[in-house]
Amino acid sequence: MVNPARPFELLVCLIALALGLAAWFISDTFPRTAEGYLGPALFPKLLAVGLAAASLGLIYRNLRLPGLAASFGLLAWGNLLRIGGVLLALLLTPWALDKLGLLGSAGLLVLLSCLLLGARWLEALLTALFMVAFVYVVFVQLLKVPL
Amino acid sequence: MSFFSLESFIAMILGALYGVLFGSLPGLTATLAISLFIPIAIFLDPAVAFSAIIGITATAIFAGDIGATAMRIPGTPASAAYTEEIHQIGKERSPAFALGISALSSALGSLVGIAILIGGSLGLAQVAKQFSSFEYFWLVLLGIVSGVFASPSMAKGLIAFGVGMLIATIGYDPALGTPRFNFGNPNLLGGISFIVALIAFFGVAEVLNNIYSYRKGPPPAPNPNQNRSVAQEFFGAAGRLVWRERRLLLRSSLLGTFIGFLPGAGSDLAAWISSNFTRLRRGSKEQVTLSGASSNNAAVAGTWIPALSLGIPGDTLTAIVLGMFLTMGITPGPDLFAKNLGFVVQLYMAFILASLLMMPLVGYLGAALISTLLRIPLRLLLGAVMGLCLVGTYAINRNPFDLYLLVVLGLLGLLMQRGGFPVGQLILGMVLGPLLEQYLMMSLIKTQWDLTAFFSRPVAVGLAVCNLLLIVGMLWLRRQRARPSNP
Amino acid sequence: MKRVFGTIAVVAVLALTLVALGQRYPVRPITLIVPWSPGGSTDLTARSLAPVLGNILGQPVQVVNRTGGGGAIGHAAIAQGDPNGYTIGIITLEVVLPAWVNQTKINADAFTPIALLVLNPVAIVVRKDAPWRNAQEFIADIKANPGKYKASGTARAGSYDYARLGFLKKLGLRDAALPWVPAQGAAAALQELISGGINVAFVSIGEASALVKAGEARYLAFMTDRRFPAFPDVPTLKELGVDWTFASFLMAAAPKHTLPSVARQLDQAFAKAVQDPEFVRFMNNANLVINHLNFDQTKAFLAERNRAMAELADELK
Repeated sequence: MVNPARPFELLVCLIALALGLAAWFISDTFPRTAEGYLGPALFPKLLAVGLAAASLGLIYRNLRLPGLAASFGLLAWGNLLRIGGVLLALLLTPWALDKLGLLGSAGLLVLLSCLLLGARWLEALLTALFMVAFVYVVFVQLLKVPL
Repeated sequence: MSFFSLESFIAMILGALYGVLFGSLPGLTATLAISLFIPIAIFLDPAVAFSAIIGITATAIFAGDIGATAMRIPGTPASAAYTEEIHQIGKERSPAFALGISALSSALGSLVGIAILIGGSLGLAQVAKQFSSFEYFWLVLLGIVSGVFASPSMAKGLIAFGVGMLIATIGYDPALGTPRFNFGNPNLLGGISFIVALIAFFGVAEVLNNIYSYRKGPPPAPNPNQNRSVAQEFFGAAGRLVWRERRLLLRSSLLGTFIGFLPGAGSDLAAWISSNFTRLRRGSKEQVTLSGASSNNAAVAGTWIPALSLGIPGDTLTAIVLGMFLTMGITPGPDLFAKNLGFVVQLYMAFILASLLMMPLVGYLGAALISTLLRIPLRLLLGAVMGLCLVGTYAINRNPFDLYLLVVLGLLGLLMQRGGFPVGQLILGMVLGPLLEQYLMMSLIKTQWDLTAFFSRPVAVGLAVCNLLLIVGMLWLRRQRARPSNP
Repeated sequence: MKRVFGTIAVVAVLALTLVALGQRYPVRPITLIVPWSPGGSTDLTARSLAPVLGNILGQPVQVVNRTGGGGAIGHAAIAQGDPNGYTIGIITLEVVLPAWVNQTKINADAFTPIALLVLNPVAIVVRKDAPWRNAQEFIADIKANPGKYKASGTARAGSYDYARLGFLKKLGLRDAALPWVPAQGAAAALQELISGGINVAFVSIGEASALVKAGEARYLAFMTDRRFPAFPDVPTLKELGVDWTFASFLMAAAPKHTLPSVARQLDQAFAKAVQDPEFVRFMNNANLVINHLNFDQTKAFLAERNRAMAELADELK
C-alpha cells in the first residue's frame, strides 16, 4: 500500500517510543513519597507504557504492509529543505532579537518565509514591511501590549 | 448605577472590539485583555467599566474561532477542540459560513447558559458541592476516553494523547513539587506555556505543512465560493444550518453549562467533550463546530454559577470580576438574589445583550475581514502568519527560549499532521493530562493509596460507570463497523 | 607620583560622576518587572502602581511581565538586571521558600529590598458545618487525634504548606499530625474543602472571602499579629497563644548592588505612591491589602522571614 503518510507515521512512532523510554528511565530518579510509593514518577511511567504499546503496534502494522519503499519515494525532499530553512531562521531569531529588536526580527522572518514559499522579492519585501507596520500599530500602539 | 445608558452601551461595543482583537491574534488572551484594561478601568464609572468588561469577555473567548478559521491558529484552548473542522469549512466553502456557524451557535449557547444561570444556579450549586477529587478524576478520564475513541485510528489517538500528556508533565509535579524533565533548565521549571504550544502545533505547523506541499507552477484555482456575499453566507446559510441542528445545539449547550459550572474544569473541557461526542457519532464538520462552539460559550456562562452562588471563581477572568463585585458590596451566595436583585437582573440583561448583539456583530466583521484577507496569495499570507507566530509567542512571556520550543513543537506538529495523527487531541492531552494527574495524586495521597476510595462516593461511581459504558460501547461499535468491510 | 596623582584624579572624576548620576536619577524610563502572569495580584498591583510611581519620579515606569518557570524567570531577570535603578521589580514570598530557592538557585540575597507593598495573610478555613466552633476546639482536636484530619491549599512545599508547618511547629506537633494534600492552587483546595475531600484549608484571607461571605465556609483564625479590619471578629493566632504569622507578600526590589542613594530615592517614591488615593481605591477594589514598610523595615522583614522559613525546612529533614 503506497501512502505518502507512511514515512511520517513511522517517524512519529519512533519519536513517541523514544519519548516513552526516556520518560521511563528518567523518572527512576524522581523522589518517592513519604510512604514509599511512586510519587512524581507514577504518571510518566503510566504514559510511557501506553506510548510504547501504541507506537510498537503501529510500527509493526506499518512495516508489515507492502509498498514501504515506494512510500518513501514520495517524500518531497526539496520542500523538506525549505522547511529546514524556515526552522533555521526561527532558531536564529533569539540571537537576532538582541541585534534587531522584535520588529526587525519579525520582518526578516516574514521576508524569508515568503521567499521560501516561492514569493517574488518585491512582494515578499512589501509583505514584511506591512507586517512590521501592522504589529507596531496594533500590538504596540493600539493594544499597548508590552513587547 | 445602570448598565443601560448610552455610555455603557458604547463602552460595551468598544470593549467587544478590543476583546475581539485580543481573542483573534495568536498569543493574546482574554486575561491579558482584562489586565491591560484595568489601569484604565479604575478611572471609569463602575457601570461603564463593567459594561466594557462584559463586552471584552463576551467576545474575547468567541474570537478564538476567528484565528482558527483564518490561520488555523485557535485563540483559546477551547477553540482548539474544533479548529480542524472550522478551518476546513472556511477553506472548502467560505470563512463567512464557518464563522457564521460559530458566531450564531456561540450566541445561542451563551443564551442557554445564561438561562440556566438565572433559573437553576442555586440548585446546580448543590451539585457542584458534590465534586471532590474522585469525581473530577472520572470526569477528566471521560474527556480523555471520548477523545481517544473520537480519533479515526485509536492507536494514533493514543499516541497523540500520550505525547501531549507527557509534554505537560514537564515542570513541577503536583504531588511533591519536584521539577521533572527540565534538564536543569529554569525555563522549563513551570512547564511549557499552553499558548506557545497552540501557536506551534497549529500556526507554525500549518505554515510548514504548506511549504511541504508547495509546487512550482500556476497557483491553484481560487475557491468558487469566494465571491458569495458575506452577509448571505454568515446569516443566511449558517443561520439555516443552525436552525436545522437546533436539537444538537441545545444538547451541546446543556452539556457545556453543566461541565462549565464545575469550578476549574471550565470551558476547555466542555468544548472538547461536546465536539468529541459529536465526532463519536460521526457528525459532519459543521456539526462538530456547532456543538463545540455552543458548549464553549454556554460553559462561560456556566462558570458564573459557582462564582455567584458559592463564591468559587472557576478561572482567572471570573476571579478578577468577582473581586470587583465583592468590593461593591455585592456578596455571592443564596442571599445574592434577595439582597441585590436589581443589580443581578441588570447584570444578566447586560450579558444577554452582549451575547445577542456583540457576538454576531464582531463575528460578521471578522468574516468580512477574513474574506478580504484570503484574497492575498497564500505564499504571502503564510509568510505573514509566520511573523505573527513569532510576535505572539514573544508577547506571552518575553522569553526568547519560547522560540526554541516553537521550532521543536512546530516540527513535531508537522510530522504528526503528515502522518495522520490528530494534533488537536495532543492539545487536549496537554490540557487534561495535568488535571488527571493532579486529581489522581490528590485522591491517592488523601486516602493513603486506597484504590477503593475511587468508588466510595455516589457521583464518583456514576461517572466511573459512564467511563466503562463508553469504552465497552465504543469497542463494540468499532467491531460492528469493521465487520462488513472485513468478512 | 604622577601616576598616583592620575589615579586619584580618575577616581575623583568617577566618584563625582556617580554622585551626579545618583542625584540626577532617573533620567530615562524605568522597567518594573513582574514575575507572574497578567491578571494575578502581583500584576494588578504593579499595573496600578506604575502610573503613580511614574508621576512621582518624573519618568515613565513600564510594567513588563517576565513569566514562566514558576516565577523563576522573572525573579532571575530582576536579580540579574543592571544595578543602576532602571531595572526594578516586584518579588514575592517564593524568594524565602526553601524548596523554591533550592530549585531555582535564586534567594533573597540576590536583591536589594526596597519597600514591602502588600501582605496577604493566611487564614485557617473550615466548612460551615465543621465540628469545631472555634480555633481552640480545632487545635485541641488535632492534638488529641494527630493524623485524623487533612489539610490543603497549594502544592507540597508550596507557600501555604509552610504556613501549616509553622503553625504545627508552634503547637509542638509534627508534619504528620495534620497531613497535607497537594492542590494546584487555592481555588482547587477550596473546592475540595466544600466537597468534603479535606477538613481544613490554609489559603489567603482574600482567596476565601467570597466563600465565607456566601456562608459556605468559616474562618477559624488568621495568621496575623493584629486583627484584620475587614473581619474584626476573627481572632489572630497570637491571641490564641500560638506565636505564628504567615502571609504571602509583594515587595518592590532592585538588583543586589544597586546604589544606596538610588534605593533611598526609590524608597521615598514608593512611600508616596502607596498613599495615592486612586491606587488605594483600586487596591481596595481588588481585595489587596496595602502594607507598606520603608527601606530599613523591609530589609529586616525579609531577613526575619528568610530565617523563619529556613528553620522550618531544617526541621522537615
